[in-house]
Amino acid sequence: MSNDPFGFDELAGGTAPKVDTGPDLSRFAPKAKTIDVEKAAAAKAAGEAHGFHSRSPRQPREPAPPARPEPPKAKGKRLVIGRRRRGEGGDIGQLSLTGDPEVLKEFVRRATFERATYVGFLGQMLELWEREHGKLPDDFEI
Amino acid sequence: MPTVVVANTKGGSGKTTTALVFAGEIVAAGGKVVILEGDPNRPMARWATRRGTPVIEANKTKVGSAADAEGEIRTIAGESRIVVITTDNDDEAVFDWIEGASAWSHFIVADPEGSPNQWLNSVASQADLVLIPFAPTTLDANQVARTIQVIRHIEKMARKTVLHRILVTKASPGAVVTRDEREIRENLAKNGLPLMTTTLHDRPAFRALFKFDALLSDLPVSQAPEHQVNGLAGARADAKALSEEILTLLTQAQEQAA
Ligand SMILES: Nc1ncnc2c1ncn2[C@@H]1O[C@H](COP(=O)(O)OP(=O)(O)OP(=O)(O)O)[C@@H](O)[C@H]1O
Ligand SMILES: [Mg+2]
Repeated sequence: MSNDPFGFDELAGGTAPKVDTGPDLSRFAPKAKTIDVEKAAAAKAAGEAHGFHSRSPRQPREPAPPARPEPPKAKGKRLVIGRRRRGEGGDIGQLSLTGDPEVLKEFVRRATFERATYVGFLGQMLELWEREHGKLPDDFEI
Repeated sequence: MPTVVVANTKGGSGKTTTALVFAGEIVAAGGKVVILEGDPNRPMARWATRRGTPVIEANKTKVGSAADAEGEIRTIAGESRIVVITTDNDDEAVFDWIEGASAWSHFIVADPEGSPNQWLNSVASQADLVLIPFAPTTLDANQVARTIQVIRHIEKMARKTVLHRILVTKASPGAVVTRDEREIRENLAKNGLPLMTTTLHDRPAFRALFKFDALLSDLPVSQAPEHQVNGLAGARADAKALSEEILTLLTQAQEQAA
């Protein structure tokens, strides 16, 4: 509208080329897609391995494949992590962690950038560390 | 038709803002968008209701199939090119809504809540792109890693990949990049964590989206002094770069799949 204050579009019968340089959406045109049931089942299994509970009153469409989360191998002092959601759940794993800030830093660094199997526990480990050993170190950095 | 999931299990990282910015660019380009909201706080539904954008509350609108879902969306949409669907209470029905929405919209943009749950897993499993907004402070790096872990777990179990990118948000605008931000960027890159080139900088115009229940293209909502918004040109440039980068990524993915 304000792009065309003189009404050129209308004069041209509305067929004037749009001067808009916006992106072309033609290859993303609406089209019904079907759910990827394999991925859906894997997501369900992953969720169960993480202790999530479905919020659906319905039955799942596909049976989830059995989940086999890798048990983390811990050295040194172990702290047990418990996850409880909506009044259910239980312990989900053990990881090695001491009260030494240097160990904590190294743990976070490795968990963040090297050990994909550990990072899922990171948020809880930090909370737990704070609970066990007090405030996280001031200069806490990765 | 593609589904973009904006996910970071860290709260306040800019998920909802990113989702809305991208949705706004698609609408501005003449496209249609379904915003799937998985947050019980329902910021998107509130934004939509206040501005008269149609909202479907999935717990009140039960659907038995994707065709039902599509019908509901078409009916409520009318002339609107955005529909918000709040589905936070049900991670099974969300599959019907995704199928139904893909038949009506160019894009589905999913905005989960800021903590990990099964809804996020379900929706992420159907994503064509998972965008992980990340405010570059040290502790947030942990949460990015958590989110990526969930994705990798799904990839491993499904033996399929999920396209994902980290998006730096709320970074200081201007030439100065903080030491923290630079180190974090370097660390992410060094460790092969895929980063978007685009940054959504910290700009008042992005906060104004929820203040005025607007899209960037609606701002300023009037010429009145109290409606003036700072950082609008910068926000528009960020938004444009974001949508272009997303569309390029998805185009490449489509071409690879073909
Ligand atoms: N790029 C930005 N510039 C300025 N402010 C921003 C930006 N991104 C987000 N914000 C502000 O940060 C706050 C949190 O953003 P937002 O709600 O988008 O995060 P979220 O990840 O969706 O949070 P939640 O986990 O609660 O869902 C909001 O006040 C928002 O206005
Ligand atoms: Mg949000």
